[in-house]
Amino acid sequence: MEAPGAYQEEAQQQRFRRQLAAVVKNFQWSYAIFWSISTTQPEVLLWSAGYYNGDIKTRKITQPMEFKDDEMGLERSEQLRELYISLSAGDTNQQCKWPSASLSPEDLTDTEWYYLISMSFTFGPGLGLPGKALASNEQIWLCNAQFADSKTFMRSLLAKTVVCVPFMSGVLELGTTEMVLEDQALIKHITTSFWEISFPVCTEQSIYDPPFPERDEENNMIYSVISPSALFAPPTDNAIKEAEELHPNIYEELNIDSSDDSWKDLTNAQQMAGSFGFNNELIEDEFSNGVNGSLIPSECMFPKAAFDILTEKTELDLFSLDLDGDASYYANTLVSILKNSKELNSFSRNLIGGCESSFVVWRKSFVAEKVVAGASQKLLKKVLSGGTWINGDCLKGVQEGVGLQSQVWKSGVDVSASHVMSERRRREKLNEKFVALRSIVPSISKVDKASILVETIEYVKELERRVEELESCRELFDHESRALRKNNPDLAERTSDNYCVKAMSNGKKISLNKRKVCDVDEAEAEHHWVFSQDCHLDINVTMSDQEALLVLHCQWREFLLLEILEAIGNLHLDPVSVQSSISESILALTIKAKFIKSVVASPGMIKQSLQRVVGKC
Amino acid sequence: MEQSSSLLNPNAYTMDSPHPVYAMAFSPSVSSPLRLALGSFLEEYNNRVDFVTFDEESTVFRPEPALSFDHPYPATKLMFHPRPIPSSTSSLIASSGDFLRLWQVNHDGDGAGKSELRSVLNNSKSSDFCAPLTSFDWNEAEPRRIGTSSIDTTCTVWDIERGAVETQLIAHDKEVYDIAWGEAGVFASVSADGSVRIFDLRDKEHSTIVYESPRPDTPLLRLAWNKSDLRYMAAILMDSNRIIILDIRSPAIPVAELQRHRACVNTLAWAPQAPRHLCSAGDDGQALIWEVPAAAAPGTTLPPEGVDPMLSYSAGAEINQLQWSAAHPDWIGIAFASKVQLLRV
Repeated sequence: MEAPGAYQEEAQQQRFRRQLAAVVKNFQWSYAIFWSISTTQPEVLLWSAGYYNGDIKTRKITQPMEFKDDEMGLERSEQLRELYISLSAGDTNQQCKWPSASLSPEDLTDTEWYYLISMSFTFGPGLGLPGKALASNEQIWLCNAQFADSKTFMRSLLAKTVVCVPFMSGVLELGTTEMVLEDQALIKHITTSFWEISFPVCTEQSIYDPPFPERDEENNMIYSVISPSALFAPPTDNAIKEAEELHPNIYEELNIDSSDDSWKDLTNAQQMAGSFGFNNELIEDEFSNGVNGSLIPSECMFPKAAFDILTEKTELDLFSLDLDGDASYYANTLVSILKNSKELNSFSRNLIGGCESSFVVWRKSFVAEKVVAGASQKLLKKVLSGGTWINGDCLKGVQEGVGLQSQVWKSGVDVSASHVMSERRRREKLNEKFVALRSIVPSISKVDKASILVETIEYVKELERRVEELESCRELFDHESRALRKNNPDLAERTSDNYCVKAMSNGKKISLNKRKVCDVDEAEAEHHWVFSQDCHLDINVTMSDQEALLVLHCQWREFLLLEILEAIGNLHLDPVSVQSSISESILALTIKAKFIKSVVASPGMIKQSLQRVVGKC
Repeated sequence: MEQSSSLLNPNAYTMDSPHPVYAMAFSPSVSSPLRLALGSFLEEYNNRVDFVTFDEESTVFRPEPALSFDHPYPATKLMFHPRPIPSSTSSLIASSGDFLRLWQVNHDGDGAGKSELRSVLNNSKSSDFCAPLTSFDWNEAEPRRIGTSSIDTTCTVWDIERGAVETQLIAHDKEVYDIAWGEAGVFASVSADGSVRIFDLRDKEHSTIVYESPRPDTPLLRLAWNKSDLRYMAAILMDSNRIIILDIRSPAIPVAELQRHRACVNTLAWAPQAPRHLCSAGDDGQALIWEVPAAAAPGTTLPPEGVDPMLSYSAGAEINQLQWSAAHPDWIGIAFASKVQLLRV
């Protein structure tokens, strides 16, 4: 294939590619590869030229109206080659590298990928199908290539039938994704047709409405009829006309590639759908709508669907493929090519996984029927409920509400759960408070709640008594000192003694005691009153629900007001308003005070402490 | 446990278990072969956790009965220590149930070894009363921390090295069903009150509501935070076939609602290495792998017919558990009825 001058070489290459293209299209096979003997390594076959005629996922077209079908095919193969080169160069900066018209990895179907990977293969002498063909100088027709073991044919996932023909100074390989039985005549046709076709041709097949029920050699023979005339008119402005002309070819390929009757309906639907135009953009998903028979707006549709069908069919075959270690070669190639791109990783995983994955590509048909399961999320709900099995045992020690709780749990998760939760929280709080109370009150020995409360009450009462006692003791101490000052020791003592005793024994009922004191010991009482009279103390205490009203008239002295307010504060009364006036050294005081705590001092107590304060005159 | 190969799909590797399995965990150790911990689900006190290794080359399951241990009540979740020492022959595994427990599993190889209970982490003040844990998550960035969620509406963060509670928060108004760590000090939880909340341990007073179920008080049952892209979270609702994908940068509006399951969804897991892949499984017996669309630019809307999954697998029975192995990202484990299957992605 050497030719003097680069241009001529280029032209020759081009022509060669066209010839390859023509051959493949002639027989409507999926791809053709020409392996040539390497110039660097003797007897090693390298990828030299190829034409991909199989399914395409997305078509990137820069000039929509100008390409003929064969040009597109050629361009596609070129694009695939470019992609391979760029990927194997390991360029990480792929995104900006690819111009808009060239392919990026997501655009390729699986079969295109396999074709691309094939470019990486080399065959030593006698190795692989091409190698064997070359070595033996005989053609090899491999049927059921996907079942072939890896030694014979490693790239078996692209094609079901592969033919290798030693040809010129290399091996011409043709492959198809269908089962084609061996046919010597076909091989002869391959070689002869290669030379016969010297100008670009797109075979025109007559438009068949009925699909081909079987693919056998007879059909293939029919296909081998070559129409030498160029099918397509030179590019016209009428895109639609071209589209329609393209239409039949697509139908052909569709018919060939499918074995499913549903496809027939699809093509009919397509025919009925009418016009469609070339589309510059990537269209991937719309064909899935097409599956349901709706309009297909773009010509890029069919390959995806065809691919889906293919994948579905081939997947089952692939599963049964016995891949040993060697056969993961192409998987490894994929990985090394794709390892630079993160997004590709997932893609490649699917792709690699496509041979071994447990998963299948999802299709809309899966959603068709809604499955009515039993109880939904049954196990999950049981897990989340915390379950009767846990709480049945856990709650044995809790005193109250055990029966209620387990009943509530058994009745189900949904409604009562929150109820039970708040109930449980309340009980928990109460329990905690009881424990706290127990720690405060030292005398408590028992643990049950009733006794805790009882003992707490007693303790509080005890404390109150003591407080009173201490307060009155202090008061009497004051009394004593005053009495001493007034040189009435005996009386003062007696008074103080009696007073003290009575005060201690009678808690709050001091006012009554005073009266008693009055009754029993008039001298004391008088004495008492004498005090009052001497000091001109006049106290009036009125109590209502929330507050106390104190009206006071007494001899004024320094700090008296301060001490009065202090005394009131000690009685847990909060002065809200104070009106005072002083005339002729008599203090007139009106105080409104409200209760600070719930335990309120009695009027008698208030009077008494006021008297104490005032009485220090 | 016997090993049987599935007749339905030669690429799914099935193991039969003598009892129903719910909790499942993959060992995150890359060097050792695939190791699975399986927790039984029997509605009684006596349950077990069993260990099984799977040889990728020969696709054979090898049970390790020496490592099995008894577990009181069924484990609601099992999880290995997320950052194991590579050459170590012992692993730490945590289980939640009535309490959080830590177990040390010493696998000496060739099926020998044993497991022992390391600690029981119990925060209930009264010994008579415990609030069962619905789930927990082991913090990968800070492996001393384990966060647990409970039906008593609280989430507890444990410091397992000290064996003490780091903090306990009342996270929700109702039972908390799942918890997931984002960073070292941030976790999210879902609850029966229908909200997804994010908590930051540096500011325990406040939480952020990232999403609330549209019909009020529809409980959210499970949550998964995408560890390879922390912007994304996924949650499932009670009695719903929808999976809600959330972007934490735009709260309240889901990025997508994945609606292709034919029955309620039970479980889900993000892919450990790919940034936006998710696998979910439910009562329809399907395990679906989705590629979540990137958060839409403002103004764009999702296609009305919704997002389609990329791949699917049919198990034939309701799938209750799904785990995606972090150490071997080609493998997904599912559990249904009494079977455990390993699926190759």
